Amino acid sequence: MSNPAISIHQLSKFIQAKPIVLRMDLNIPKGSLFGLLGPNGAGKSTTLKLLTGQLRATSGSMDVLGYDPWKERVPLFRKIGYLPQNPSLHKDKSVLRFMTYMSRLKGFSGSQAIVEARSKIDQLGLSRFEQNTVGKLSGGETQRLGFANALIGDPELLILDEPTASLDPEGRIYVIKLISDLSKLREQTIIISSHILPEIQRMCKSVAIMSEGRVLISGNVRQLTKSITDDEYEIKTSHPEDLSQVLQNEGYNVTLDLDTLIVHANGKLKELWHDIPRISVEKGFTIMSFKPVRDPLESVFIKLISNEVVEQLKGENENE
Amino acid sequence: MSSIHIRDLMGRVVFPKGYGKAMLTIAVELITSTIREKKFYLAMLYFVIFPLFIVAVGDLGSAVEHGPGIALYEAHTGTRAFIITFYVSFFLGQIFLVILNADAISGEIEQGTFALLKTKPVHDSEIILGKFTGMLVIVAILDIPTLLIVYFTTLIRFGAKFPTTYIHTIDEIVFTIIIVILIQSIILSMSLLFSTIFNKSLYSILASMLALFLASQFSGLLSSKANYLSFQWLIDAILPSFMYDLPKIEGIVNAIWIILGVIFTSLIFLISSIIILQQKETE
Repeated sequence: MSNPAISIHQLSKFIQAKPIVLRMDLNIPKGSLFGLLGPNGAGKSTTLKLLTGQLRATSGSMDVLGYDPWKERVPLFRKIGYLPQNPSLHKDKSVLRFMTYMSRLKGFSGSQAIVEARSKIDQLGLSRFEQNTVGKLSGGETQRLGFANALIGDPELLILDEPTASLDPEGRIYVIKLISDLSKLREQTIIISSHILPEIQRMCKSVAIMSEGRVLISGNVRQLTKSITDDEYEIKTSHPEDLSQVLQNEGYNVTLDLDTLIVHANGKLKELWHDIPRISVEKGFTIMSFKPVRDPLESVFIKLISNEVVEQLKGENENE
Repeated sequence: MSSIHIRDLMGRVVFPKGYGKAMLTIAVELITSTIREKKFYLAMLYFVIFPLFIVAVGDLGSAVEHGPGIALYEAHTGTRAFIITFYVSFFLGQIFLVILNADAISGEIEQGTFALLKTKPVHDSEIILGKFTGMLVIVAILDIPTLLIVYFTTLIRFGAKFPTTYIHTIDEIVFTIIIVILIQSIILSMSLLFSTIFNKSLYSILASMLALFLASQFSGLLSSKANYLSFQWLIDAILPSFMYDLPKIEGIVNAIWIILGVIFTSLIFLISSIIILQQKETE
């Protein structure tokens, strides 16, 4: 791997004697779009606060773009942008005034600060709110403004803590596209923490999964999911009731939800993959869709959290 | 040519290139946002109306009747005594300074906006000095017009000759303004320190009030008059000896030492605030 953007070695953070992050080891390559996954309380936000020098590590070391975040916060923040979870912004200022102030703090002076502020407001689709008071924006608009703030100065590294958590569907799609574009077009290194797995799977090539302060596994999404299969499949067909009957006769558990069948393979997954095309050809059913109920990453996540496959995946990664 | 950098205890460069820019930004932002707040106008009303009310109803004439009879001297002494009582007393002027300043950091922490400063390339010292400078300007905005009004109202009441007496009063006014702002800078830096220590505005305001009260008791003990009016002995000590050949007051110290002491005390509070902020984690 070329010089990583972030290198974490045996990082721990205890708060009131409780381990929030525990002996974490992680390397994040430059230019990657990296997902940090985990349930609430897994230690994702604390990790990001450690990476941005807002918290001091109890032990271990970090290197973010060549800087120690706690000791060299100022030069580090010339190169990074950070979006906290539920950002608190200056509610009494107008959107433009807030962004201009933030641009000045980032190092832009005079009219440059206003130009930069307007450019980021526009990039996040907030131009029509330019003169609105920040406190009167909706939750989604506030989140977008927080994102615009993180983008000031086009930072080399973007750290986003649950960037889509409070967005409406339209805002979510907009932000996901924006993150993907930033990653592809500008080759920015982007780290996203989230518990919304399908989003992460759609955006990120590499992920780390955290639980109870530890990184359970990290690596390429395809690599992590290639050996993980889901036992439950969702089938849309032209003859749902007939297919349901046939599958039950073959020994599968089937539930019918309107025109969709949910099939539990009961450990006979390979047979199911074979049986579905065979039955549909024989009976003349049209199969409109045939897919696992859960996304592969979701399956990995659930199994990891329940500690089933950590060792299996680690073994596979080591062999490769 | 290699540049020499001063480093702090953690090995960080203290004054790197571009240092101070963010401090000015923070100061300007504090000034512009404070002058939009209601509490600023309440403070301004109080600072202007209350002294004028006291001057209007106060029995300042007796000073002329019983004093040496020199109008300028009497006008200055009377005004000075009033300024001491009003501006630097614990129960009057200082309370507004504490209310305006004691949540400078803790208020931002409470509202969650402090993280915005900590996640920008801004030194902790720039945050503290920016807040301090901004508040000092706000204090000057409150003090200077009021001091001018008080002085000239008093001169009119004493029947001072125009324009001679007024011209002779300019040096006294300038010096008084400097002294008042200097003394208030101690209050500002101290309340800023408490604002850095505590994460809740209420605690930092209460702690600042308590510290001021204790300081006023202590300063009262330093003078022969054990009073509750804080830094009276300071002003009494400075002005007559520095500007005029007037009898010195008990507990007197040379003016220059007083000024240096005030600046030193403010610096100690500010440096302590910076060190605390450097060690503080953002929740």
